[in-house]
Amino acid sequence: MRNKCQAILVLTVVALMVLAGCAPKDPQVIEKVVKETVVQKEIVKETVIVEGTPEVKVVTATPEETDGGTFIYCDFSDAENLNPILYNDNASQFSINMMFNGLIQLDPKDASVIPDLAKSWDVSEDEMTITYHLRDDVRWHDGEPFTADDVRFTFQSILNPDINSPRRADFEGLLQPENIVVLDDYTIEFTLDRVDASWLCCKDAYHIIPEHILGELSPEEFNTAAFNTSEPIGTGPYKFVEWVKDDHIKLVANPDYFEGAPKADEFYFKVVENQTVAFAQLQTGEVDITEVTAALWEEAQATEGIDCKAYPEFSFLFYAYNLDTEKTPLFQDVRTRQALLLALDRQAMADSIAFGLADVAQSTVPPLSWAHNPDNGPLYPYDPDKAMELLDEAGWRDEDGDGIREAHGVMAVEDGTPLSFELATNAGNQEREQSIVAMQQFWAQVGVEAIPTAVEWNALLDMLMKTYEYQVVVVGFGWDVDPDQKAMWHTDSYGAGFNLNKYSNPDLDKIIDAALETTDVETRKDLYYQMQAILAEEVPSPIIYFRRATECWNSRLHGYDPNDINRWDNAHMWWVE
Amino acid sequence: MSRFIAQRLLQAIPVFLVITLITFVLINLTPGGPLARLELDKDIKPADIERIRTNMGLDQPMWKRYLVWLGVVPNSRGEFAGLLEGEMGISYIDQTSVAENILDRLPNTLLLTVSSLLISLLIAIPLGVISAVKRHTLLDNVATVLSTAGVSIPAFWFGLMAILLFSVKLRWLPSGGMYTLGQEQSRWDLLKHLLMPASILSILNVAGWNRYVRSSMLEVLGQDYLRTARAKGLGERLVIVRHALRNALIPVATLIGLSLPSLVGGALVTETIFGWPGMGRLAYHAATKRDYPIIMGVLVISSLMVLLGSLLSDVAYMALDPRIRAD
Repeated sequence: MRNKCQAILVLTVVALMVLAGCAPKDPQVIEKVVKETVVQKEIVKETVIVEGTPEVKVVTATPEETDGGTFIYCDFSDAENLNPILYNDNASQFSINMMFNGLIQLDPKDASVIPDLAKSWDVSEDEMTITYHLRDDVRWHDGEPFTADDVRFTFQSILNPDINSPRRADFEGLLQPENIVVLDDYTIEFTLDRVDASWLCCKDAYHIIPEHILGELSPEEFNTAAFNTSEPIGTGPYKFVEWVKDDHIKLVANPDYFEGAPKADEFYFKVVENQTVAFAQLQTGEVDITEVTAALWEEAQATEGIDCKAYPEFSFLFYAYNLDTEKTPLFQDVRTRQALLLALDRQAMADSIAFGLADVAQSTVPPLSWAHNPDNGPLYPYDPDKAMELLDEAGWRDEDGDGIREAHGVMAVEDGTPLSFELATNAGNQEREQSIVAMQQFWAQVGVEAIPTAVEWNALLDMLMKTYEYQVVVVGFGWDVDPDQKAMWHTDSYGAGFNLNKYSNPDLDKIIDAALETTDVETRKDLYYQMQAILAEEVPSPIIYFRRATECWNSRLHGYDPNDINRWDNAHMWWVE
Repeated sequence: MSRFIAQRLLQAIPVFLVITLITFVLINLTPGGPLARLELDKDIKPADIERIRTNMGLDQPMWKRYLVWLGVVPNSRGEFAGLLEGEMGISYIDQTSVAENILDRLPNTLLLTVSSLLISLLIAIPLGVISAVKRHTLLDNVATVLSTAGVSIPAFWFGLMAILLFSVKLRWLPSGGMYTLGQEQSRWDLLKHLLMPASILSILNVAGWNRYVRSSMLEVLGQDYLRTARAKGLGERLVIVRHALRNALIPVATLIGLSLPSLVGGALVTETIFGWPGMGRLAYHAATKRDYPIIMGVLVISSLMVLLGSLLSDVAYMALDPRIRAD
């Protein structure tokens, strides 16, 4: 009897130990690539036959727009700073966009510039003087009128070296504080030092802060002002009520909003740090909007009462070959770089690592951008045979039979050096860790040895920005709406920007600089097509894929349309059933 | 006794200072720093990062920054504003007061951890006693298995399963936060939100307490004075509760003192899963973002708790057990 009891006991304990070691499920391979999907609830259709006419009129009854109600947006981390010129993180961005406006905003359909606080603007012949005509019917949340002084104050604060604005670098050599001139209460003129193609879309887009509240503060007081964390005052559709750190931010409707009083009453920004819990809360109705992790995407789309959208983003996953011969000589020959890219099945990576919610990059410019060349052919589609051919051509052959190619007459590489290198990425990011393992396997099939290494984030940052001690690294990045890509490909961006691998092509430098010096879209498009062609040939840092963001929201919230350009242009019109 | 306490308090001061010094050095030596995120942003030039670095005082040598933090050396404005003056500085991330950040979260964490401790003890003590008294029976074995389960199964899995069951499937309890958003903050609402996280947290601790009470009881049950009590004609229940249990609880009481720091440190995983705005999350975020003032602030509180806890536990031991007072 005792033995039987003991046996059961042991079995139970062992079973529990197995449970305790449970690891999260590996991602399933999804066969179909998910295209941009918008799942919406069916609208009830009524067929009405109008007497006397031959036609059949179809009347669609939509849910009636109601006033009032609360909706809750959830993010994985708390906001950091609610002052639009001091913040630097995504979480603060949502709340700031609900409370503040800029001179202009972007039209989510095509990223063109449309009015916000400025109702129109004139650009001078030489493209260096821009005059904005501001609305005269705008009030701050505390009732004070909005005027051109607020605009002047905002930009001068950004330019102030003692104020900790991380945005200041945008204006280096571009705008001097004395060249911001208030012509009258509702007219303001900016005179730039040079032509800047991204001025109108991006550099003048910063949200405006109130001069009557912050104007008297010293820079130090500005940096530590209560305005930043407990008393923000803006012009936007919602105004601030409270911020309980790590928990939520509460905003209420601003009935005097200049585009019309918001339809809903209250907005909450809630912090939920775990993706599974966030989805659970979406299901119970405790939150109304949340990003949904790719692993839960299928389930989310099948859930009743939830609308979901997978939309393309400007952010992407890429890897860089270190091109500094002092760090590694292996990747100097362009054929080596092209061959390694051909050996990767990027579509398979997008399907299984990103659950199909990513688009394989055919160029460094995503299709989302107006500068994308629609005639870009497929960029190095998966072809391991071609890869091996190119590697042979470049001089990499496996003559000692160990499965790894060595150099025999390879550019810049000593004979006998094996094509073996460390493949690094940041630890703790599942997508990237899975990528390096996949890449190792693809490369092993063509005789290349990649050693995956996961490095702690801060240590990796040191490697990428200070010491450059790496051979191949996988990281992510994201472009701005403006198609300029100087930060990654320009010679000057090594050490001062995001050019991680010391890539330098003086011809490309000239093209990039020229594209920044004009605002003519056609000229820029032409130059960017050239840029794409050069980068397609040289592949210094191949982009693996552009991500799609996956977001779901409760069907009772109407009018909300997430996208990577601007989702707040109609924030005051979102309504709750 | 009072001499003992005074002696210990005096000893605690240099220990505390050394702890702060070591922590300060260690966090400053880890790679990265509060400006690391800015360095990765392609729109921010190095000149701007250097400017912000100077504005924040991060360009000063480490020893000087430590002494400024301590309050022995004046800061850039010429003021003495460090620990010795009762100031803990401001966060690097949003420039809010460290003391305020901590005081906002501390009550939340204490609510969670103290409730969970109470639940743990309420379950563990009777369970441990019964296990000891009915040693090696089915009840004892089942209790052992269950407590081993509680300690082995990861907290986050337990938490997530509880949420999926009680919140999503059954809709009995809310799945996170301290209060329901958009409603009046009532006690009842708070209790509903507290129930799951406190229970999950206590499941993990019950095992430890249970085993401890059990072995302590077992030791006491073998003592001669119990045999005397039984010989006097005392009923078994009184023997156990009035004599055995009281003696068995002495080591347990001292253990509670030692667990004081964990009450404050917060239960990071539980807090994260249930969205509880507490010290655990504060400390974790501060660590990942290298927000040195907050890290140091949390450290000051926790090391004070450790020193206080061990002192209290020694005092409790001496107070409860007359045999020890001799020294």
